[in-house]
Amino acid sequence: MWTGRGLGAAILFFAGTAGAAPCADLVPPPIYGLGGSATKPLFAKLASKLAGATPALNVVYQAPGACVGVNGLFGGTKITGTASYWDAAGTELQCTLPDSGVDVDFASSGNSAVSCPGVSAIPAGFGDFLGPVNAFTLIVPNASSQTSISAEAAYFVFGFGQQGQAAPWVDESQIFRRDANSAAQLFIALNTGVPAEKFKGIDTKTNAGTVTSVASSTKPEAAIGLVSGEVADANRDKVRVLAFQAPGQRCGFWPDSTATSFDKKSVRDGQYAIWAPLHFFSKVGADKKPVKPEVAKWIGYFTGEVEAPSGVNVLEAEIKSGTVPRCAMNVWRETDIGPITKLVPEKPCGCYFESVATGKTSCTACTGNEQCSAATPICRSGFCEAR
Amino acid sequence: MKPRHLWARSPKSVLFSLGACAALVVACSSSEEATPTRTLTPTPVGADGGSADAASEADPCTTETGCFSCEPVTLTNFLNACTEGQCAPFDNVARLPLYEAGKPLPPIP
Repeated sequence: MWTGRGLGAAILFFAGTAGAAPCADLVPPPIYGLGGSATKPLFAKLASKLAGATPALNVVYQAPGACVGVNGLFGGTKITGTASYWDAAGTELQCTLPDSGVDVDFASSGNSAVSCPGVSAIPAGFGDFLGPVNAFTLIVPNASSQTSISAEAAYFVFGFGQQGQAAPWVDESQIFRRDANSAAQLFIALNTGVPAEKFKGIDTKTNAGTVTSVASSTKPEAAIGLVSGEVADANRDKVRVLAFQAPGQRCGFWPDSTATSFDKKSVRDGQYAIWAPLHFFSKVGADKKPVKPEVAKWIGYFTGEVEAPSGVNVLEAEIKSGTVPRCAMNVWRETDIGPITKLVPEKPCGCYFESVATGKTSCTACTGNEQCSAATPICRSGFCEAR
Repeated sequence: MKPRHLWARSPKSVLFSLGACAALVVACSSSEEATPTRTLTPTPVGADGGSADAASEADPCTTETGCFSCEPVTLTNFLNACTEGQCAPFDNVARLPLYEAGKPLPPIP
């Protein structure tokens, strides 16, 4: 029997080999997820904490694409082959699924279900739960001199390739795309008008593949790719995010207040256009909650409806992975690239977000309300907030 | 999936902001502006709505630097809201040979 906590090193020995341990042997038995690779940095941080928590929770995840997950869950597809899980030390490991396959317990996606090919509505018996906000980004190698791109430029780059004449991105061997099942590609499609199935360039298969292709390009000025913001943030030593200028926008903005910061200010305030909350899908009962108790816990940690075990800080995991908890958002939207409205979180965590994401905040630190002023009277997550 | 252009959502407000802002040397907060990839070439007045002064006179919410200073309501308001964040303009007219201001983009081949 394997445990995510104690025998990670032993399983690491087998990782990547035909002898990878069966996923079903994990203790406690894992829940199985299917979806996009965009969420893996977040899952790595949270699932590893949960693997070492009391009670423990093991999460096995396969990441063939956001919409593959959505369609797989809704269609009752069983997953086979190998999948990832994380041990308590935060190491991503591989385990083997049975040849007969296992049912998908949850799907995760950066986009809504109806943006996926073949999905016109969420089927009866399934629920859609929202997690933290993730940005989607266009990236270039660190050696590129480019700093921004407009929606119109991206239209010519990804819709026309070389014929688009959108210099310097005219070499189709240096345009790195995904497919129509990728949340990143869906969002660039929605924001530019290029049909998701008609992107020019080379399919890199995963977010990580895009980073590798862009970063290792021998023509850095010509290289461009699209990835989840989480993945871009985790690879800033290799790639740079371009400021994005939406149609009708006066200027291009980065997800953060500067090209090099991590504060997600332009996402939180609505100047960066390409963002959405993560979606979790699962079978639900009559109460509209996930049927499986362990799945309800896992998803509940992200929605805030379930309190995490002692020692597991969900907000911190979300922030450190490059996502923005809803409580730190000042704007919101209900649909993929839909209208934006002002958001006043009931229990704000903007101060905590700034503290974790940037290492500093102008907010007053506190351990209780008595340390807070009238303007920010409530002590939340160690800082005085307005509510 | 059916792609939806942002500009199809609120064409009047988009065109207004586009016109007002394209005529400017676009800026966020001018003191914190990032160095643009290429110097912006102002769009000829009239192509998309007028000069910065005209925009300011017509819309008290649009500042001289082109940002939206009132309480944002529409998507375009939020995207163009005044902010301390840095930005880097991309000049479609100067950099995209197939782009024609005020005209629909050519269809994907």
